[in-house]
Amino acid sequence: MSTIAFESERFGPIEVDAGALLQFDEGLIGIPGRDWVLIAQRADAAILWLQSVEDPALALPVAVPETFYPDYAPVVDDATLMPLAQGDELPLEILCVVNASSGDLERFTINLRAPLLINPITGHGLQAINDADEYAVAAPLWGAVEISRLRITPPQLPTVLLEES
Amino acid sequence: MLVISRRANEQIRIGDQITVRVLGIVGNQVRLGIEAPRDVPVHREEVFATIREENRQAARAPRKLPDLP
Repeated sequence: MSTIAFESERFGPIEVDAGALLQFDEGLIGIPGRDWVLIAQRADAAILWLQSVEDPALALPVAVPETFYPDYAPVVDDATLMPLAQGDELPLEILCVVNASSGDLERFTINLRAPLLINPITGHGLQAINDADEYAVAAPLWGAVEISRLRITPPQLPTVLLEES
Repeated sequence: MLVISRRANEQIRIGDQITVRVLGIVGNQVRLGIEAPRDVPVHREEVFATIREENRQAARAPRKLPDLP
């Protein structure tokens, strides 16, 4: 399989199998870019990074929502899911964007309203709008689970492990 | 921008497959009925705008995140 080499401002040079790419044909909402790579800085990371392949400066923190909201159950209409469908089975993986811009772990928020849905077989993904109104765009990261009780659900997606030296 | 006046129960058609019908008008609120193919998602603009802004903020995360215990 071919490899893709690219540059990240945060992580330096990165080389991955082409099969590890996550492809968002429509980009994220308000953020262009088709090719992304999921990066973990430790094997059991609760917060990972979605690094743009095309823009070295662009990386968003993301998390598996079940880690922080164990009962998370987004509602997405068929029209939204159609580009990801393949056959009858639709085993989608979900990531949610974490807003860490405050720098203060206690004030991080997670976007439960617009989950990233990814087909783990094809690597194709999109950012959907969850029609369940109770899910906030900026839900507190620690709104459902205390830090001391965190049980990390790892993403079932190709992940590049870049441990900090 | 194309500007069209419509009364209650009148509709406009966008392309072959999308229609928008004015279901009713009460005060300054208009109820719209939208018929579109299954592969055309329809969302309120303000939800979209909020998500866009949240994504852009998320892209300004600190270089290194605090360690989780």
